[in-house]
Amino acid sequence: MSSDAQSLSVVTPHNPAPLNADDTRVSLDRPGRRYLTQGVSIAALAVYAAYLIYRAAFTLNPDARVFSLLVYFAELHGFVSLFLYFHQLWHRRGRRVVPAPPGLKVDVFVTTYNEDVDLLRQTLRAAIAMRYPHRTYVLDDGRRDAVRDLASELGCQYVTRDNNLHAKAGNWNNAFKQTDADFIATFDADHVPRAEFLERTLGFFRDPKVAIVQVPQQYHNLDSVQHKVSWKNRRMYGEQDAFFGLVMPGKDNWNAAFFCGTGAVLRREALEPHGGILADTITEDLHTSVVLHAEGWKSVYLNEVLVTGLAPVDLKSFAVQRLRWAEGNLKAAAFANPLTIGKLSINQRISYFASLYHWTIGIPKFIYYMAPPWILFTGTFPIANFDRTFVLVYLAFLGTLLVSYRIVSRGKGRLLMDELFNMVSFFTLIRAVKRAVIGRGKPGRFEVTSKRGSGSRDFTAVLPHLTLLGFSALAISWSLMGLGFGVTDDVRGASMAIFWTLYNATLMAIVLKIGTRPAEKRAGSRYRSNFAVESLESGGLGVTADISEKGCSLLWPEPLTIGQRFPARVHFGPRTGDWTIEVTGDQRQQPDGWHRYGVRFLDLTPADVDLINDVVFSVVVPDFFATLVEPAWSIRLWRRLKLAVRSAVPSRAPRQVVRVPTRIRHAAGTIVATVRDLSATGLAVQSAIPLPIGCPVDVTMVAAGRAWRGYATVARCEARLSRESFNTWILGLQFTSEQPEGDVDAFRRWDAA
Amino acid sequence: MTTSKFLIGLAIAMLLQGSVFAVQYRDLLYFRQPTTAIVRDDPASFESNARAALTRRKLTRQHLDTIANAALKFGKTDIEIAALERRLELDPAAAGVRLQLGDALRRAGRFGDAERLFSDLVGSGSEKQ
Repeated sequence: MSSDAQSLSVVTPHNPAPLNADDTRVSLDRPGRRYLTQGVSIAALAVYAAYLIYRAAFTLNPDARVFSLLVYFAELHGFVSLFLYFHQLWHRRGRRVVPAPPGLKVDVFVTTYNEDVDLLRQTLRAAIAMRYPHRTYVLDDGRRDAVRDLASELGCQYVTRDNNLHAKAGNWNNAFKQTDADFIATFDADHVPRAEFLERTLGFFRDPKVAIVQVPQQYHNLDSVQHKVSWKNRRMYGEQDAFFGLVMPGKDNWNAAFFCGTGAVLRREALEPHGGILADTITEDLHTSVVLHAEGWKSVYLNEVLVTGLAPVDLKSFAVQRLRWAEGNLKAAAFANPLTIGKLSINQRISYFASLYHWTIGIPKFIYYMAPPWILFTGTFPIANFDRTFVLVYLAFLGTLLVSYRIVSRGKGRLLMDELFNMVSFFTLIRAVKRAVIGRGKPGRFEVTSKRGSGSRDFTAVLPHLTLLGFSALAISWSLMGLGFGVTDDVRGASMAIFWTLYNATLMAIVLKIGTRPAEKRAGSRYRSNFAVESLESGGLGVTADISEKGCSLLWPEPLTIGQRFPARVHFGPRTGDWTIEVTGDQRQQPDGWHRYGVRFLDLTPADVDLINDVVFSVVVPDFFATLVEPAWSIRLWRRLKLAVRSAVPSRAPRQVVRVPTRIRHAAGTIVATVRDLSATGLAVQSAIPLPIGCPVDVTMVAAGRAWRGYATVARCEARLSRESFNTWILGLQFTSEQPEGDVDAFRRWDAA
Repeated sequence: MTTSKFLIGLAIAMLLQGSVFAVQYRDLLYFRQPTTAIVRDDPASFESNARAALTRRKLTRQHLDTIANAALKFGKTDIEIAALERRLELDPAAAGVRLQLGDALRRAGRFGDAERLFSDLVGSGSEKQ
């Protein structure tokens, strides 16, 4: 960056108070904790290195030289991976948000090619509704009239071109050349920003050297292939959580957090010399970031969920996405090699190298998947001297690895789940390496990830796993025949190899289960949410179990009949929807007595669909990320132990998540809502309006076959701010008198939704 | 493809694999028989199976004992010696195998080797005493 450019930024009237973005960094770990993880990192790497030396010196099998060296290579690859992982987690940094200065000129780019117009509509409406003055552009590489009409209806600018050169990057650059805002927020077609996105990110640009502000990519379709959710334990695993929750804050420490293609704000001044983002590869984001960092620009990673998108819903889409990322990132090295490009710090080089190296993991994984069947077929081991010494050394090494991974990952690492997704991706990653090697210097083909899935069962993505599973099964049977017919008497070796094969085969079977699950039947995603539903005929109360653009799963206390219609009011917190609902399917009575039905909302207008989507993205999705945050079992156990050691009494009575509908009468009116949690002393609800602390209320809770009524006072009122007219408040209500224990306890067992 | 189709395919593959196994290890499966059954068999059949088995890199103790004992009965001393030498590699301290090998070497006219083996055996025996 030239000094002229810097001074221009400083004196811009829009940017009156420059700051150093480095001053906004805060450590996410207490010093003691940080030194512990750093010490553990060094110790674990030392143990790993000692193990590798021991392996090379004493255990390589001269009778199976190639096989032995292949396995050794896989272990060596693991060592480098571990070093890079620990390097990135050396010091995790967060950011203190600084207020956005007024008057910045901001454009918002939403790129699209072939995504559904309905999907795009949600994104554009949310983009337009972001607070902070800005102009919104939809960049349509599909040249579709429907998108042009949508832009016109919503009041945003439509930009297109007569070719698709350089795919998404070319599309983006085309708009870049036609606009002039100093800052550009960019979103993929399925990435719905929250109202505060610009307010939270723009402040960092008060540092004139900041070129990129990136936020994490989170996904709102938690039924995707890359999520595993335990609603009961309030835990969620997302395949990219470790990257965005651990690695990116670590990269931010080295000023190496990079642009991820969506959910970011970029400075025009930094991109201007390049005519926009770099378009030579299919991962323009990483490529652009390396070059900007090499030019002396800074990046900021703000670890707040400010935008959510759609994760691939099936393995085929997942494979397409990962192939593009892996191939693009590996090929980017040919254009901007982080190890050789000028002016990067050594830590930036290592950090970027880690981002490329990660995509080669398919090769060692394939060796690990093939090794045990190979042992079973041939009786040849990659280890010579498979004796007690080796077993002890290996167990010590493995134990160190597991414990250090756990500690350095700050309890957030999920090794088994990571192993599962390595199994999912190994073949795709091998293909990516092959393409990167053969097609070096060529950009590659940009394939758009399907946002809705293929809509039918597709086995192509799991064919490698199916083949490997069959191969493993045959290997086990071959080995058992060998033992059974006395061809071999190496029971110990065969047992070890069979155990290893079975472990891999279990992962393969899970991948097959994920890959062959029935295709999504509903056109839109379903969002687990519990809104009170009130019959406008009988006044009866029920609750939704999930909701989509077209209808919901309804829990109702009494039986309904298929085809039955009645007018109902759905209480979406601050907003309500009055629709006739039709029962379309019986989804069985629940063990707790609720009757569950598939329900369609009749005669929905586009405004009604918008309302549902607004509710989903303003209330439901933020609630996911506020709720599904329970830590790993080990940390929960640790906390319990600490409480027990200190003989501390929890400050609040034990609460249970209970989602039953409730009516709360207060002096000024009635609130219909859903109970969030319940204890022996009170309950919490998400309310459309705030109530003053101490306000007396009359509470009626409804469950299948029974109702409960009592009195309470407002003890807590916390705002959950969202888009305009979607703000809610969490009310903590304390029972005013001792309740008959049995009554409340009965409700606590009725976990309706 | 469904799970049942995959399982059917796997079952067929396993049947084929069984056939391949039988062909691949026909020599070793031959030596699963008791020695008494083998010595009633055609000597040529024994010899071809034994020579095939002895080309394998890995043989179990049972295979080698069976080959050595049957070779003794058939008077195939070279096969007996080869089997016992392999057997001794698995259990270098096995005195019975050394004795048997020494005897086979003597019968084969390799007196020097036999004497060395017996001397080693006596030496190691006196060391133990």
